[in-house]
Amino acid sequence: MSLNQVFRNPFSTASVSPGKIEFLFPKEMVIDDVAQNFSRNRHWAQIVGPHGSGKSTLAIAVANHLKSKFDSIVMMTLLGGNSLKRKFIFQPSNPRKTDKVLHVVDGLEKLSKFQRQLMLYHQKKLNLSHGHGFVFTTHRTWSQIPILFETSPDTVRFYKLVKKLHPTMPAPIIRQAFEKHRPNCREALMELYDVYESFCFASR
Amino acid sequence: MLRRINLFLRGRLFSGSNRRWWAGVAEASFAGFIFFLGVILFVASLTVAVIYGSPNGFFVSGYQLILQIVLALSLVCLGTYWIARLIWDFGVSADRRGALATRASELELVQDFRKPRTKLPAIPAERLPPRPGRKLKFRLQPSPRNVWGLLTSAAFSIVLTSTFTILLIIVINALQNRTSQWETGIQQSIGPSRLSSLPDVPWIAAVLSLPILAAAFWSIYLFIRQLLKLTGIGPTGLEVSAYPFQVGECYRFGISQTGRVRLKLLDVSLVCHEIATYDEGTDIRTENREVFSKRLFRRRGIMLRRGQAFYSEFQMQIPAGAMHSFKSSNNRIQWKIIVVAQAKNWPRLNRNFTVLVHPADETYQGTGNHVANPSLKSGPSRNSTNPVGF
Amino acid sequence: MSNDTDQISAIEASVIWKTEGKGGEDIGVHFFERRNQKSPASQTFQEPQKLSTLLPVSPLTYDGEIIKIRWCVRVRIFLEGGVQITEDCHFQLGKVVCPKELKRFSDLDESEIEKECGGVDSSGTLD
Repeated sequence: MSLNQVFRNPFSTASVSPGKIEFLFPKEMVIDDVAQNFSRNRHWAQIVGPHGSGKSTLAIAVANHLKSKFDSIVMMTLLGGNSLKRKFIFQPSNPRKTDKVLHVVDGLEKLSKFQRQLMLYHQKKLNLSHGHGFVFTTHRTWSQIPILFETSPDTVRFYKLVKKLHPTMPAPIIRQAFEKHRPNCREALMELYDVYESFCFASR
Repeated sequence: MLRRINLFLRGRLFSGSNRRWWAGVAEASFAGFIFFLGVILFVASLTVAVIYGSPNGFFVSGYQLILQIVLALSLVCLGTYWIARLIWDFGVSADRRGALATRASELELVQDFRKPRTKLPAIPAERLPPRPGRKLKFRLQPSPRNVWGLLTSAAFSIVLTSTFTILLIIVINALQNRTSQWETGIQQSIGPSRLSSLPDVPWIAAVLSLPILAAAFWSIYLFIRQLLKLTGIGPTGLEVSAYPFQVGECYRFGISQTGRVRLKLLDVSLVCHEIATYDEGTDIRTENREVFSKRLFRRRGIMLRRGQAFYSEFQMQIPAGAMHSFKSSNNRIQWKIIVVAQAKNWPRLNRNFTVLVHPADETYQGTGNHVANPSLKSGPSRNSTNPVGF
Repeated sequence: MSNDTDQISAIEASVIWKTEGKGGEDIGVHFFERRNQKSPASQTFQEPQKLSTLLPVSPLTYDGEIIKIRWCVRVRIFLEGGVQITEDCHFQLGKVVCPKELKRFSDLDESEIEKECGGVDSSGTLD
C-alpha cells in the first residue's frame, strides 16, 4: 500500500455528467440572458434539443444561477413508465412545506400524453399558487410551455469544451469525434475517453 | 421395429449420445409440426364453427366440434411439451444426472457458494453454484440460454399460421358456395345472365393469403432454426479441479461433449469483460469491453461416436496480477469461459460459463479449499517479480 | 489549516473505494468516524488525529479500460461558520496490473503456460 498520484481521465462520467461541466453558449449570449428569460416566463419554461446536446447541463446551470431566488432545487429525471429519479441539487438544512422549490424535470418526452397532461396540470398549479419554478428538458417542443432555449451544439463550442477538460487534446481528433456523433456531445466525449486512455497507455 | 416403438415411447429415439445430426433436425421439425398442426386445427375448428354457425347461437354445437377442439389442444400441448423437453434434455445430460445421483453426498460442499461472502466485499455472490463433477471436483453450470428469440418466433408463427388458416377457410367457403349455386343454376337451366347473382369470391382474402403463407413459412423456418440452435449437438460439460478461482493459480479442466456429429472445431477461451452502465440524459446505456482473452483449448475434427462422450483435460492459469471479479451498482468485472462448437450443417454453438475469480492468496486467507491438486500449485508466477507473472 | 483549528467543530474521516470511468460513479464505505470537540478521541483538534482500520481484501485498486477502482481516505472538516473542507488522500490497495499489460499474457506460447502449471496430458479420449 502506498500513497500515489491519481490520474483521472478528464472524460470519465464523473467529470462530464450534467452539473460537472460548464454549458457553453453561442456568441454574445450568457447565462444571465437565459435566467432573465426564465424569470420573465414566471419560472415556467422548457429547454428543447436532441440527445446529448447539453439540455440537462444547461438546466442545472440555470437552476444554480437562480439559487438565491429559491429555497431548494430538485432534479427529477423521468425514466419512462412510472419510474423517476429524484435528487436534491441544493437543499436547506431545515426544509419547510412553504419553501419555494425549483424543479428541473429532465426528459418530458418519456411520459405518455395522459401522464404529461396530468403532471403539467399539477405543476402549473404549484407554479401559480406556491411560486415553484419548473424548467423542463425535452426532445420535442410542447405547445403549453414557453421555450427557454434550443440546444444545437457546433464544432467550435465542442472544441472549447474539450480544451477546458483536456488542453492538449489534438484538434483533428476533437473534430473527428464530434463529426462522428454530431449532435450527441455525450457520445463524442465517451469516444474521447477511449482516445485519452490509449494516449495514457502509450506514454507509460 | 418394436424396439424403435419402445424407444420412441421412452423419448430416446432422438436424444442422448445416440443423436445423429439429422435426428436432431427431424425431432425438432416433428415437434414443431405437431404443435402447428394443433394450432391450425384449433383455429380452423373455431373459424368453421363461426361461418357455419347456427342461427340461434354463435358457435355450432355438437360433439364433433368439442372433439376437434380437444384434439387440437392435445396436439398443441404435446408439441409444447416435446419442445420444452428438447430444451431441458439438452441442458441436463444423462452424464450429469448420473454424476448428481452418485455424488449426492457431496452436495453440501456446494451449498457454501450460496452464502454471502462478507470477507470479500464487492465480489458478487455465485448465481449458479457449481455441481459435483464426475472426474474432477466441480462441474460448472452454463449461463442460462436466451429463449426469447424462440418465444418471439413461436408467437409470430402462431399468429401468421392462424391468420392464413382463417383466410383460407373464408376463400374455400366462398368458392364452395359459388360452385354449389352454379351447379344448382345449371340444373335449373338458368342462363348465363343470372350468373352475376352468384356470391362473390373474396379476392382480397385470397390475395392476402399468399404473402401471409410465405411469411408463415419463413417464421416457422426461423422457429425451427432457433430450436436447433438451442438443442443442437449435445450438452457440453466443463469440470474443474477447484472453485472459485484465485488470481495467479493453475487449475485442471475437463471438457466433455456428447452427441453424434463430427465437430469441425471445439474451442475453449477464458475472457474478462468490463461492463459499465451510465445515464445518457434519460436513457441508460451499457458498454461491454473485452479486456482479456486467452484460448485454453482448441481441437479440430472431433468425431463424436455413439455412447462415447468426448473428454479431454487441459490446464489454465488465471494470470497473476489480473483483476478479480467485481460488482457494484453501475460497474461489473466479469470472467467467463466460452466454449464454441462448430459442426457441419449446424448453426455455430456458443456456451458461456460465468466464473468467479477471487483475489490472490497473499491478501485473502480464505476457506483453504481452493486448490484441489497440490501439484498444480507450484507455478512460480505468484512469487515472480514481474507483476504479470512472466 | 492550522490557523483554523479553533474554528473546527467536527471532523469526519472515512476510508472509501469509488469507481471511475465510463460507468456511473459507485462508492463503498469501508470505515467511517466522526469526531467533534466532545469526542474522547479528539481531545483537541490542534493535535494530529490518527485513525486505524483493517483494510479488506477486495475490491483491489484497478486501472481498467472503462472501469477504474480507487481507494482513498476522505477527510471532511466542518468549520463553525458552516463551511466544509473536503480532502481525498488516495492510496493503492493490492497490486493489479492494467488490462493492456495483461494482454501480453494472452500472447504467450501455450507450452510456456504448461511449463508454469506443470505438465498435464491434454489428449482427448472417448469414454
